[in-house]
Amino acid sequence: MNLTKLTILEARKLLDKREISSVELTQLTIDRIKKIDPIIGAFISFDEDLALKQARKADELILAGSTYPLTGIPFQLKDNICTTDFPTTCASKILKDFIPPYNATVTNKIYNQGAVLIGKGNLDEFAMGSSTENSAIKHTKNPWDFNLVPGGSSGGGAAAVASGECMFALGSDTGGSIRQPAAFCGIVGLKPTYGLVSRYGLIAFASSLDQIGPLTRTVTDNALVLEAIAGNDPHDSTSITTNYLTNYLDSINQDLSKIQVGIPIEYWEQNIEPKFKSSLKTVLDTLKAIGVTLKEISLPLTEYALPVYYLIANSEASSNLSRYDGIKFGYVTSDAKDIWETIENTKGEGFGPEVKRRILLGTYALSTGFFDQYYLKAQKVRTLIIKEFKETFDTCDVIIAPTSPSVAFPIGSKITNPLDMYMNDIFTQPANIAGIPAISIPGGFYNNLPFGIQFIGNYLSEKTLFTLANAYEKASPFTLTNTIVNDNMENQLSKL
Amino acid sequence: MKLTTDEVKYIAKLSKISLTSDEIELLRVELSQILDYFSMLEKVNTKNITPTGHVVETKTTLRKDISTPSQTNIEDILSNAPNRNGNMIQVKRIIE
Repeated sequence: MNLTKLTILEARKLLDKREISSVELTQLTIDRIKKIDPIIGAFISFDEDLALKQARKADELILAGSTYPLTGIPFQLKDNICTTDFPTTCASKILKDFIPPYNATVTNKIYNQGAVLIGKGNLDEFAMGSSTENSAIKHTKNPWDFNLVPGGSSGGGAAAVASGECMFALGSDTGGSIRQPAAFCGIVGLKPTYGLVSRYGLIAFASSLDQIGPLTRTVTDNALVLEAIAGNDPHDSTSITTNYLTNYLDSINQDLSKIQVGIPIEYWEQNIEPKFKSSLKTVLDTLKAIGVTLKEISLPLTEYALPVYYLIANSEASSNLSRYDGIKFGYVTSDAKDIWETIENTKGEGFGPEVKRRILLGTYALSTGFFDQYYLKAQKVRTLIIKEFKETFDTCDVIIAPTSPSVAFPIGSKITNPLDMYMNDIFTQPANIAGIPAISIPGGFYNNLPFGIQFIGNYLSEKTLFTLANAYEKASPFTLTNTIVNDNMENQLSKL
Repeated sequence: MKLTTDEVKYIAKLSKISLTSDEIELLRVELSQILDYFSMLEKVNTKNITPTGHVVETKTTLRKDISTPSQTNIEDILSNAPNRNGNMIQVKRIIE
């Protein structure tokens, strides 16, 4: 059984035909984790006994003939998604031993399908970062090259799916944290339309930007997982109440000739190394070959997305993270003579440097005398960016862009320069600012490392994104399920 | 734009985060650099533009005034509290 080649759709067939049991699949997964995760470091926690218990339950369901698409399928949840069965640490010292008293809505939705939760995935602390190096617990390595980062902040999820340590993972994306690690690890990652997936139980970073989404090896697997987690949730008052198209797998093979794809000149002209840019551009040739219409478009506000994103995200974070005061839950300082020192020292000792940096930035942007210049200004430019996307989608159906300005970079190479690190997200942040969906799929290889290509769509256009991404995936030989790509991954992992 | 040490200390106080003097100095340099970069937003004309709070159309979500199950197991909540006293979470004196 090739764990990196197996898709959820294939596993479903094998399980339902009883050619493999969930217990066997889960045991293979756990054996792999035990073998390679001491190096890869994708999991913060995993529980063999609990996993097998769930797998046995799943096998009973399968035997009884009542299964869902995800019954018996081993998966990982990013460790900022609440689970009562595992601590939920956000990769922070301040929540190291925190066990949530409730499950996130997405956790329950997937549990209700009888999937098998193997463990929790590593991330940048509180989802703040683009390399998973900000985790206070461990670093995660890129399975393609152990000296490189897997991307972030959902680095644990991307690395686990790419290396066969689980069949799918859920990550969260505030400025690119699902899509960029998917690109760096050669897999598929979707940030859904804001509000499509409930945020109840997702430990908040930036409430108007955060979204949970699937990390999978193929586009059809991604559609399957989205189907399981999407939908209105009374516990999340920002979750969608309008009707939306479901059954993402239906008509995923439809006709592409009507889809107009816009190429935004500002994205493709950014500071990208020329040779990498030529690799990226081969994607456009493949798209032409599968029959889509390409046209050049312009998004002049693109360069402002980064400051808009960081001002809004950090301001919202400064409010969301003020709850970690050492009183109701989490780490508490042992060095405090009064209530105020309890709060201040708990945060001073419990938060990592990037978290503190962002909270201070956010606090400053919201403070008296600076609110108008920073936060309010960012909110107004946000309005303009949303308007610009709206007008663009009158002229094309999907926007195509690189996911990241580079492939995976060496561990430690950008961590000392915050602005350098922030530049990783210039192509992903605009979709979060506008609340529109975007998917990253493997676009090719550069210097033997995978790079991602991004399709960005209008609100609730996930079906169109899946259709286009699926057609691209079939036409290009770069997915992990492709034999040559897969052999390379398995060779890499056999070194462990 | 150059932040002063006092300004960083002030923001830290507002955020209720204690910082060492090394951290204050490093943050002073980093935040100044980042805020400098963000000043590019001044180039965008936002006259008469309403700020965006919510990306998608939202209205206040209401529900019927009926009591529904909430967190029924108090122990699950209290077991996370760093300091507890019976069924209560304990904190240091707030009012002198």
